[in-house]
Amino acid sequence: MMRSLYTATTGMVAMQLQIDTMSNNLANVNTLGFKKSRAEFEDLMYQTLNVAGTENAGGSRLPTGLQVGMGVRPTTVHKFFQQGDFQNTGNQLDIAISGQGFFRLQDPSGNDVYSRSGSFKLNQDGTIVNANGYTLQPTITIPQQATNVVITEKGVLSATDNQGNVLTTANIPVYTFINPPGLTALGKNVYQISDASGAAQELIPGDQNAGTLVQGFLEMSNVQMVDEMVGLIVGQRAYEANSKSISTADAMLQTAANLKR
Amino acid sequence: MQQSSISALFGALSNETRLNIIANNLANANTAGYKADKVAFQDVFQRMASDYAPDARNDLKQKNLLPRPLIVAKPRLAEQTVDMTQGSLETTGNTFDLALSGPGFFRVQTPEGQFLTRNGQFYRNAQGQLVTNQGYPVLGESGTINIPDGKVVSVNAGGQILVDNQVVGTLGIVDVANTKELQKVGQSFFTGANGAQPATRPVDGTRTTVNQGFIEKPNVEVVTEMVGMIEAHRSFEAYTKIISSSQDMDKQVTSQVGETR
Repeated sequence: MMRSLYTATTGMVAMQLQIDTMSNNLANVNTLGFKKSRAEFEDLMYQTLNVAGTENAGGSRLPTGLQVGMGVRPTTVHKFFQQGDFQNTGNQLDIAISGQGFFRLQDPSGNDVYSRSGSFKLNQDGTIVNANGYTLQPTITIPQQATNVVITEKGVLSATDNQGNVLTTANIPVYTFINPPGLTALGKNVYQISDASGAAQELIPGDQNAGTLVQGFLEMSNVQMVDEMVGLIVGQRAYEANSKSISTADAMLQTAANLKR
Repeated sequence: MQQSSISALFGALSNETRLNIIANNLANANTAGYKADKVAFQDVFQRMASDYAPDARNDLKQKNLLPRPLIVAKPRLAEQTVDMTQGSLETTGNTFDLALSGPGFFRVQTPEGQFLTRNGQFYRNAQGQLVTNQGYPVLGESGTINIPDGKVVSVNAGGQILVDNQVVGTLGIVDVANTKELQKVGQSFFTGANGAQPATRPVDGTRTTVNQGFIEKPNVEVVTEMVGMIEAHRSFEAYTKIISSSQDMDKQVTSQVGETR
């Protein structure tokens, strides 16, 4: 049967992945600290019908060959860790990272996970946790009588009571990775270290390449609606073009089949 | 049997291959750095042995019973060339997305040897090496490129990689003397004819520049491919019509001419 049927199938499957990726980006357009993804593709293997440089019947060498490609395949879905927009909330425990870096959190089973979402709250013990109850690492407990929490750019947290007495101080470090796109997304706004991401490097905010902390702000998702919409159009049209290849191949096969009556 | 049906068969088969190539172009309509394939046809002239036979007529009044075709032309696919025109650049803003404008290729080291590519969607892996999205190291002027962690990684138009304004490496971009002899191996890679290393030369810095934060889109023109597809489809139909017409004629020959009245 015609190769183009299968070639176009790989194209349709790849474009489906493109649409799926874009849809997930759009679904998370308002998710705090969400980082958009992009699907990347590469061409599949080639069938060589004529090798370039072979001698032809006339004794001269063919300047070019004849190769038929077998389609496309997705290689990666790449996460983009570009800075998202900041939103001013005025909430004392909303912290955004301006620049590179992640907060370290501990999930209920005791694993270290990393997140850009800085929407923190206090749990029943006064410990700083994220919206899912994962504790911010290192663990910081704010005394009950504290009325004011100040976090500096460098990550120094100090909680004071209404007389201005400092009740507790702590440092919030940020963690950077040599290859952030290598992190494994676990959902719920958190990531896990993988072999590709490299080990987490603990830094004081503002040092080396680490970002600074901004209190009272949240980092929004870095999804650009227009980019995604254009991506959807591109994906849809490419999908349609590939379906045209299939219907053309089908029509040609039908013509061929009708030859013998 | 009729020579025309054999000629038409060649034509139909060529158009099938053409459709396969078009389907591959369309399947890769979103593959970064992909270069479209183009096909060319040629006639195969076939001369019959009888054409060279000395003319047995010794009298002008003697006539040949039927005019003989002296030359039978069969179309066949002559060559497939890779269209090396520049693809459009799309901005992504990602640090390691590099696009070449102008001629030239990035060099990539794989277990199967060195390959050339125009797909500049690179990463920094956990070891700090610059790699392709399949994980193969990208080659610089002196071997693989290591990018230390730093605040700002920038790549200038000449392919120099700077981390915090310190040059840490230069991309080994090469130009190919004769791009026609390049063969595709899949995964967006090119190699020379018969898998040999193509003859390369340094790029002309005034014509080729590296653009950071961009990817090169494929140079597939969907409209051209669609028109090509219609053309392939319709000529396939026309060839099958020839096959069925000559079949009809053969039928008439066998049923009517041989009939005894």
